[in-house]
Amino acid sequence: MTPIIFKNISKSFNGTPVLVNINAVLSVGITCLMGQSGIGKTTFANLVAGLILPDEGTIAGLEGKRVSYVFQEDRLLEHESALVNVLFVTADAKKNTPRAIALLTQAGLGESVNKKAAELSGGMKRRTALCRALIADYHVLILDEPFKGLDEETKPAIVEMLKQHVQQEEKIILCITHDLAEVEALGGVLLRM
Amino acid sequence: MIISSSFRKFLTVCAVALFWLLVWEGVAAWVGATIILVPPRMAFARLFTLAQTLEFWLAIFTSLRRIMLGFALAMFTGIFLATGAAASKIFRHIILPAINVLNAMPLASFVILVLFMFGRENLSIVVPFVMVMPIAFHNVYKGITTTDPALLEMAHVFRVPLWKRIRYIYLHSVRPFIFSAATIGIGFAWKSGISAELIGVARGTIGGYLHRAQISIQPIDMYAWTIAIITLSYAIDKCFYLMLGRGIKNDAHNL
Repeated sequence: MTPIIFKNISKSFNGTPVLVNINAVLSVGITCLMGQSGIGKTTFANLVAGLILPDEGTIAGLEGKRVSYVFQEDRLLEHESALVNVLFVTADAKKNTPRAIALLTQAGLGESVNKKAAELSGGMKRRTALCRALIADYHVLILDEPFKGLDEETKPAIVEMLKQHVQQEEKIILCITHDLAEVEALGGVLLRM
Repeated sequence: MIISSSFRKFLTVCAVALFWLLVWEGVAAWVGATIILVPPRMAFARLFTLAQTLEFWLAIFTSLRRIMLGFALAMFTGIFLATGAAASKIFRHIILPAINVLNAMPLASFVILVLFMFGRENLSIVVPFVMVMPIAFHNVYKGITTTDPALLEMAHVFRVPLWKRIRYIYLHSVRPFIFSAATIGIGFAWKSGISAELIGVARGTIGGYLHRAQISIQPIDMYAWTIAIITLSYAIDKCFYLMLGRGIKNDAHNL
């Protein structure tokens, strides 16, 4: 798979520069993006997702790539079940139901498959959002603080689940985090902003 | 003796109703002229007599059928136009002035226009339609445009097809606005429909009979028909709330 290449990327919001002359390469495997709050990590991720366009510079290698995203906020359909939330991004819900249940079970949500998202705890919602991102058909996976809100007991299992998933398939993964321990646990390339 | 809360509520309603009927009876006795204020017992007795005639029920059926048709058409059109306005800026710019004109137009002027254009029979379809459609339009438009942009962005990233976005995101956002428009609109439709029948002298309708009672100076008939209108309005409201309540319960069950 061709890498995604950021060349001299700049982006401002209401005249305030957020990214200035950024150069980066995202190749197959995990790239962990670290940096202070407000430095533009989510803006960078949104550029990868194609949600915003750069003011200057070019992004090569995005053409034809499907993106999956664990947003900073869970962005779940609160009135729907965890299972429906996961299946929402699949083309064939019926066909993908066993896989969605397997993913949710692996994430420790086997008992909560039919619970509405509104009834789930913060950590459970996060795991549902992660399962949704993993079931989608994608080339690029963006994880914006994917372990936010997870307790210390759950986190290792979810990290392991993610690593297994990544090892099985050749994808470009961009993971935004503040925690160096998470970077070490996931492995991959560290990109500092 | 233990009295259930629903029975206590019923007793309270009866007591309040009795109080106001006594006030009405007392004021009517004090005025002492049925031409100005008809006592409730006379009005109810006349209503009872009217209720034994076929004309009475035919008038109710005709008015109800036409007004409800106007209301249903208004809801469908309002939803359809609001969807178009939310989807296309050009369509919104074209449609908004027309909706605002309909909104601002006085009922009496509109009834006269409709009389010329559509005739008496269709008055109680067209007038409720015109009164309710802007309500449906504005409510549904607000529902669509206030749909959570974060969810829409999520659906965009995952390339979720439009039908799924409508089913899982838009409909959920718009549904309370549709219910709100419908509950407000049903009352408007009923009142405006009867008023239109009255102004346009639509024969064989509630408004038509009300007009006949007015010109032939039959205040007892006027009061009897007014009680019928209020009772029907209350019944329609209750039925509608029950239907919507069931709809909301079913939604909750399906989710």
